[in-house]
Amino acid sequence: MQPDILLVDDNQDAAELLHELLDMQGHAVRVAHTGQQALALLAERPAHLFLVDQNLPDTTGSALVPLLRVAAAAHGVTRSIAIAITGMAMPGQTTLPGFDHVLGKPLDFNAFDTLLARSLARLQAGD
Amino acid sequence: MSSPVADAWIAAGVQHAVLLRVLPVVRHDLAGPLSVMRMCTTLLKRHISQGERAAQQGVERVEQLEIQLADLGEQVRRLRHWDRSGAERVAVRTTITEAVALAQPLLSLLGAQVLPLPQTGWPDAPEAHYPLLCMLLASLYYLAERPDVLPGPITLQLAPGGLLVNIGTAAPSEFPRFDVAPSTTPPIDAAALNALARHGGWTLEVSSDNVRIGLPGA
Repeated sequence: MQPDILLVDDNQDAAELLHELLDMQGHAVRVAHTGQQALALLAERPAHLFLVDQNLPDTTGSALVPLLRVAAAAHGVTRSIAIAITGMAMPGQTTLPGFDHVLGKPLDFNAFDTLLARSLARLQAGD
Repeated sequence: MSSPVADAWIAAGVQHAVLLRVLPVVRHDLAGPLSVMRMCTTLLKRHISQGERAAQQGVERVEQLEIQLADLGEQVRRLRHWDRSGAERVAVRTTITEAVALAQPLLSLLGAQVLPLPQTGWPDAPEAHYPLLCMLLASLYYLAERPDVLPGPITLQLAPGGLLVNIGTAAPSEFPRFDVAPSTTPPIDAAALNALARHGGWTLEVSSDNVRIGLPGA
């Protein structure tokens, strides 16, 4: 199974660049810029891994992620992983409500690649 | 017992509460361009190492980097607004615009949206920037963080003798409300607003959905 990734970030440049980075690595990625767009994309097709900015124009990542999980579950996806990407995290903050992991901005790409690989492996193993 | 020193400390506490709310936004605005720049350089490095990047595409990425650098420089320049020793005096509308830009991200999380400011009619006489910025931010947070209502549209407009900040109520959202107020400080209530106003020499009228800040030139 190739896990689908949903990237939700209202910063168009950041979303475009991260999309390109993930695309280079051969991942299947869709991009939304608001909570509403993210839910609309999931209504069409589920995703397994959510990369979500905490600050969105119409909601917070913490409020959105539980709704994304419900929308994915409606397609039969019972296991998903949500990673917060936020510039408002406190130094050393490792948890945010709703998320499995937190990464601060500016992204540390070594940490990002490691966490992404580990998360995708867990999803593929059905953990 | 009240004293000028005690009042100054209370006002400093309210300013601290304002800063606690603003700092995540400032940090976010600084981290945003940096994050995009780091993605740009990572992409460039990976493409070049794989021999994939055409020269023109490389130039586009460098141009993107230059735009983000300019944005970052602007965000760093905005930090001067928090230098309390500065006696910078600017047009009232400039300070209001800055306050709205700083407050809006957290207000959005609460469901409140500041409506566009009137284009004309603002006082020509400049006001001290930092005190008015703090007074405005405290007023916006006071109105939007009330626990008993769903905050809606916010208007800022001139009223006789001052500036009127008004908030309406909103219809329930499909997204749950997010608690954005720092949990380690008391809420900014009417008493806190009045203490800040007394210290800054502002006249103030506070109700549950309005704050009127006296402005000499209004």
